[in-house]
Order: sequence, then C-alpha cells, then structure tokens
Amino acid sequence: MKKTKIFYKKRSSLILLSQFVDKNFNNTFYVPDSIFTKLIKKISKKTICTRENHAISMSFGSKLLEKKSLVIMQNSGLGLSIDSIIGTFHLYSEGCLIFISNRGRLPWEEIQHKKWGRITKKLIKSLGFIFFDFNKDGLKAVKKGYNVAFKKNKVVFIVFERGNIDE
Amino acid sequence: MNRISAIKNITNQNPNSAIIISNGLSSREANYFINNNRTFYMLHAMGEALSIGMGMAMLNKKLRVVVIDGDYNAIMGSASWHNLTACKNLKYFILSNRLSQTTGSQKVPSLSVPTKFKKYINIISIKGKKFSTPNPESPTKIKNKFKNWLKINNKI
Repeated sequence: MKKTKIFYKKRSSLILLSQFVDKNFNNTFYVPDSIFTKLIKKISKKTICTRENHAISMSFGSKLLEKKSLVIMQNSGLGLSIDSIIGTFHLYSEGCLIFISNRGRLPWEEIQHKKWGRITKKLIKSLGFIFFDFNKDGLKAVKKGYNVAFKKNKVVFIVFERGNIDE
Repeated sequence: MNRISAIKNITNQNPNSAIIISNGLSSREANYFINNNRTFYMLHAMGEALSIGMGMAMLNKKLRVVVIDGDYNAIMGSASWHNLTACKNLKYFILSNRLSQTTGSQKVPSLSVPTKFKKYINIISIKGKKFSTPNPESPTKIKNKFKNWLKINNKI
C-alpha cells in the first residue's frame, strides 16, 4: 500500500509569520486560497485582487515606489502569473516575494488540483526562479527568501503545503 | 486625433503625475516622440499597465498616477477594474481604435465599460496609421529614469 504523505503544522508558525509580514511589507496583494485563510485574516494591510497576474503587477507598482508588497496565491495562479512576472519583476530586475500554496499533494485532495501539485515546484525551477520550502524550514524559509528577493533582486517563491499553517 | 497627439495631450494636462504606458505602440511611440523621465514605458505584460498604476496609487495616496492603455490591453486587464474604486489619485485613459495595430491591425472586440466603472475610465478615440518606431530604451534605463524622477520630486 502506498504510504500517505502528511504535512505537519509548523509550531507557532501562523503568528510568527503574520508578524513577519506586518513588519517587513507595506502591503499584501492576494487572491484567496483556503491554505492561506487564517494567515490573510491576521495580516493588517492587504488588498484582494481578481487575478494573480494583477496581484503581481500591483506589487510591482509598489516596488517602483521602493515599497515592498507580498503576493499570496494558490499554485494554479502561477499559470496566470508567469507573463506578468517576466514582464515586470524579471524584466526590470526587481525583487519579489510570493507565498504560493502547493495544493494537490495529498491523496484526498480533489482531482482538479492534482496536476498542479505535481508540477508547481518543477515549473518554478524551470522558469529560473527560486523557491524555499516552508514545509521543510518554516519561518527560516521565509527569512531566507526575503533576503534573496530584496538583496539580490530576484523573484522568490515560498511554497506552503496543506497543513503547514491552515489546520 | 492620432495616438501620439492623444498621449501628448494627456501628458501635458497632467504635468505632475507619474505616467504608466502600456506595452506595444503606445509605449514605443511615446518613448520615441515624447520620452520624459516621469513615464514608465512598459515593454511587456499585456493588460497589466493599470495594475501597476494601481499598485503605485494605493501605496502612495499623495502621488498622482496616470495610466494610458490601448483598448486591447485594457480588455485583457479588465478584471482589475474592481480595484479602481480604491484609487482616487489615479486617472485611467484608454486609447481606442478597435485594432491591435502592433500585430497587424487585427480587429479587436469592442470595449464595454460597466456603469459602475464609467466615472473612473476615460476612453479616447484615436485614428491614423502607426509610426515605425523602435523598441523603447532598455528596461534598466526606463526604470532608473522613472525612479529618479520619483525621488527628485519626493514621491518615494
């Protein structure tokens, strides 16, 4: 029988994570996702967006003012975002931090998420962008990602698994 | 009115505003014929000019932002119109000729603006041929000139 993979909640991660976001970002542009529901509730400054590509571009607009805006999205939103990321942050050499959920990895998750669960990390890597694993390193992954994004002007993703902060 | 006259008029009527111009002919012609430091010339990312402008407008309420879009770009970015209500310091202009001129003048769908957004969106009809203009300057040059203007004018 195939072993079921379970992602465990990172201790105190939700509070520390929201504090980190509030302290280090001027705003958060997000498209809702169930993995991030509790986190989004705790973040003070945030703007809901209709599509992930627009969240990316709004964040880029704030970066032109030398302000930092976090982007939060579901992994399927990566599909919509690629051209925006390449045409803004990548093209103009600016740093960006994106929290992305990795839905579709657990056996009980719905079929429509499965493909995205299989390809998200591979896709980020194949695009030449960097990702850090929240499941592996917790808040350290976020801090590392933040430094790479804004000290080296890179597009950086922090990948969250279901269970890390939502359950 | 042709495209470049429309852009010149908008630029002159908004002398202290930061301007975002969408990629394609709008950006190319504006960069070639006007080229000022307070304009961010987009090179790519169809449909994202308004979102960039809104990101700026939301993060600095004292900054005046003008976004100039082509009609096809505007249709692509229309899902973002919902955020316009949070951007009182932004003016949005759409240059409409119902053509995708940069790719061979294909006819594009007509632009339909829902009533709730009409007060935020200014549509200007344009006519005339396209000018053969080169790609705008390098992305780094465009960004640095724009950021310098923002800094010099205490917008950052």
